[in-house]
Amino acid sequence: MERQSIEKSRKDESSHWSLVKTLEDLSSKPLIRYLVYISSLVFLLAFILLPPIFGIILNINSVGNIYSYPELLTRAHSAITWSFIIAFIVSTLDLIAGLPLAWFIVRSGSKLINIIDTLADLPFLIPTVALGYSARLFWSSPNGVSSLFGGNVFISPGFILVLLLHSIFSFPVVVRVMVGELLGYKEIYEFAARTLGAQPITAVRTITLPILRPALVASFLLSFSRSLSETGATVMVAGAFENGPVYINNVKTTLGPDRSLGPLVYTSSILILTSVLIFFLIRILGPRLKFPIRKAWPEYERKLSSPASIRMRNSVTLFFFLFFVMAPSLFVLLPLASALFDGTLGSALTGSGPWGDFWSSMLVSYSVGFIATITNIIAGLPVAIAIARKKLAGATPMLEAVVNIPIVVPSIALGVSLSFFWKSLGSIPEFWVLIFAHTTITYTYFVASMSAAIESIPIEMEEVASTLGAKPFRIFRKITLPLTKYSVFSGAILVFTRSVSETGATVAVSETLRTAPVLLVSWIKGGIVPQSTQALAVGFLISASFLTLLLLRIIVRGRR
Amino acid sequence: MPTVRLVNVTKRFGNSRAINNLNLEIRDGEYVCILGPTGSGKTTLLRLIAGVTKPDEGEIYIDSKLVNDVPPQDRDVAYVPQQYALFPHLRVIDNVAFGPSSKGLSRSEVAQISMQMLEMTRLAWRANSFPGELSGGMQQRVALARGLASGASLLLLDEPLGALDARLRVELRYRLRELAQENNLTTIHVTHDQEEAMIVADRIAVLRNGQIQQEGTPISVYNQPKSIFITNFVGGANFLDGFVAERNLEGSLVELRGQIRVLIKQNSYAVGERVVLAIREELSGIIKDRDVGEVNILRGTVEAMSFLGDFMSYRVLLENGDTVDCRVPTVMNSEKISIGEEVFVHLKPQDIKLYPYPPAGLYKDLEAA
Repeated sequence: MERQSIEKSRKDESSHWSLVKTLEDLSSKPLIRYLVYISSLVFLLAFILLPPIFGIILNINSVGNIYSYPELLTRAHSAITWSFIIAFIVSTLDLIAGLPLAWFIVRSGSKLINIIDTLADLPFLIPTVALGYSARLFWSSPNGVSSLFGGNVFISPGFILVLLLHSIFSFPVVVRVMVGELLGYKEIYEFAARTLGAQPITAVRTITLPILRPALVASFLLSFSRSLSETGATVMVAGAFENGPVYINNVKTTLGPDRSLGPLVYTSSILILTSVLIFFLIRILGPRLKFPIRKAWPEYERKLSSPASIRMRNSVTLFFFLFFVMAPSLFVLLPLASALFDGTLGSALTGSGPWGDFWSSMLVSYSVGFIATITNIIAGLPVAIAIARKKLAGATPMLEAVVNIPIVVPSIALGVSLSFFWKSLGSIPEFWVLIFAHTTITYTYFVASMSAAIESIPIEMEEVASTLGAKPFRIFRKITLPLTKYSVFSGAILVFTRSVSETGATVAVSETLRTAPVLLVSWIKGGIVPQSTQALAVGFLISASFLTLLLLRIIVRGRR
Repeated sequence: MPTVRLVNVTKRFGNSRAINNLNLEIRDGEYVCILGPTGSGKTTLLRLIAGVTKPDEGEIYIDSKLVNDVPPQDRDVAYVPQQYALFPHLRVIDNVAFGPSSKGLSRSEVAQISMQMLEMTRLAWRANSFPGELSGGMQQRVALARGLASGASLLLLDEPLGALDARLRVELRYRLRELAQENNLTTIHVTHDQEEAMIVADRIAVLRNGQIQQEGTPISVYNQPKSIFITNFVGGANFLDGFVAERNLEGSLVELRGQIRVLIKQNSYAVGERVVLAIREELSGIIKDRDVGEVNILRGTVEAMSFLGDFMSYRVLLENGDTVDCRVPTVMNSEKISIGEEVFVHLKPQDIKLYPYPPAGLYKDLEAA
């Protein structure tokens, strides 16, 4: 009897035409499903993977030019080497400093944890250009940390300052990843080890860390590629020092197009190839890395596990965090506060003087970010599903690896090759080239966070839904999407904030259009506008990022 | 009410065959238990019927219709996976409503059917809770209600009682059976628990290494197990290693270790052949004094004993080093026997079954998988 009523009302329903219904029906056709997946893969090829490759290939003949300028060649080699040295030092330092902080956040049970946890995210949310400005003021202006010691300039722009800056913005990456992993880690292994007689620190060293090895490798890689890529802030604090991105930027801004072409192609292609190579090496070898020391030193490790040494460790960790990460990040608040009261705010709001440029650059930044985000959500979703549900069978790990390439490669190098490619196609408006470039460099963020989220849903949920009669699109709409809603938004936020604070690719691509961070770099580097204007502009950039985040949070809440 | 037929079905994962050239027929309205140890392919078998996995070879028919290429949403099955996979973000009522509304029923019909299903599973009062707020038993009932609400009449249950505590498990067995009968369902119930299978099933199919080893009513599977593995997995038994010393028309004489000879009422094995004797524990008698009128009285000492409520179990170490477990119903256990005491084990010739000695060794065949 029930069956009959179902059959009957099936017929009733089919007469009510609606978009959702049509999509559901379409989604049960295998051909349509293949088309959706294929077109998203075609997008991946046509907009993300092939343009940078062709960009380089198209100009491969000009590589030879660099050999006519031995000075440029030596500088290129040294800059590339320094890029990797800095990335390596920074990621190692951040891992050493970030792991204890993550541990403290997850395990200490202190009431301050929520505050510290939120604080640790700040350098992640503040655009790197703003961080660079703030850190530069903190470390190397007379009013900064040097006022504590009475000197004039504590650390002048250069190698050390670049190191300090990169540690700041890579640090939260490590903390965030490790906090997440530690929260998911089953402490029972550690308890088991301790009941077997291992000192706490021995248990962590021999059991916990080896189990968390994939996460350690992942956070190292993230921090590594972040350091390798960052351009705007690095330019600001580099002084005469050059790493890869700074060198490319210097070449592009100081040399004419005919002289710069060779060095640009040469440096970009080496940076791209080397970073991809290193990334895959670490990714393949990292998880196989053996933690060599199984031996325990009970006496020594008992001392290390004592309350006194834990207090000591936590103090050092917090000191590092507050003094080397938080203080330099937030130092901009001081000049910002004074800029609010010295009349700068007034001229900013009326858009007079340099502010006209600033507001139009903000508009460029935000519209590029918005379009890139929407594009990547639409084009990335099927790819994320394909990765999470292994739709490509044996080729899935390869797809996953390929998707990671855009964040692995220094964005300015990617930008250089992308601009070659898109400009070779003829008269595409610069605004669109900018959008294409931003879409490419932020592509990974949405796909990666979304595929991880989908993977975490037991596949039985989707299977049961299908046995209950739901068509693929309905399963996605009613089960998968609601369960991953948070990740959709956090993925989108990542893409958006990355795009808005991106400088490397933007510098490489743009001729006349300038995004806000790029404009700020030129203001600060050139010293044309007064400090209060710089500080306020940085303040606007920061507040805009926070407002966006807040807005998205509210939207997510509201839709619950 | 549907029938299900699997013909030469194979499903591979990499190099291993989870389901290996399997044939199975399930009749209309039948309650069938697929009984097998962990890793035997039970879940894969169920997923193949549900349509969430496709076979590499062979055909699957539901109601005589080939369904190999029919997607799960068009198969009309109610699949209840092991951990239930309740949708965590939907209320109980919305979980149950998911099926009918996916099939495009009108709002009022959906509400009516879902409420009806919740009432049937006595969960109407928790309609607005989220799955995470319910106990394991309630979650199981929600999963059932959800499966049935879609109008399916083929119920696929993957270890439906596995996540529940022992007491509840026993209670719900009967409830499952009733539910299937009341709703005229054909049910395939996968379990590793032979007691559960014997209680709920019309028919049991024993699965091992992706193949059906034996199928039949609970009584026939228990009383005529086809192999050492099935004897051990369904009910358990004592297994003794020996070879055929003599045989005649009446039966055979098997020699165990230590030259102990046992008379058996089965004569299908040749003299000299290595065999395994199997005898159920409840058929292995234990007595204090040697009864001269009987055959197969073996001397031993009580090594261990345990009280199981309705049964008393004794472990007897025979003179030849073999051990035999004897189960004596508590009500019949008049004699007082204590550990270390000398006793006699009595094995009746007609209760002993003979199997060829497995080529890979006896213990290999007694392993669950």
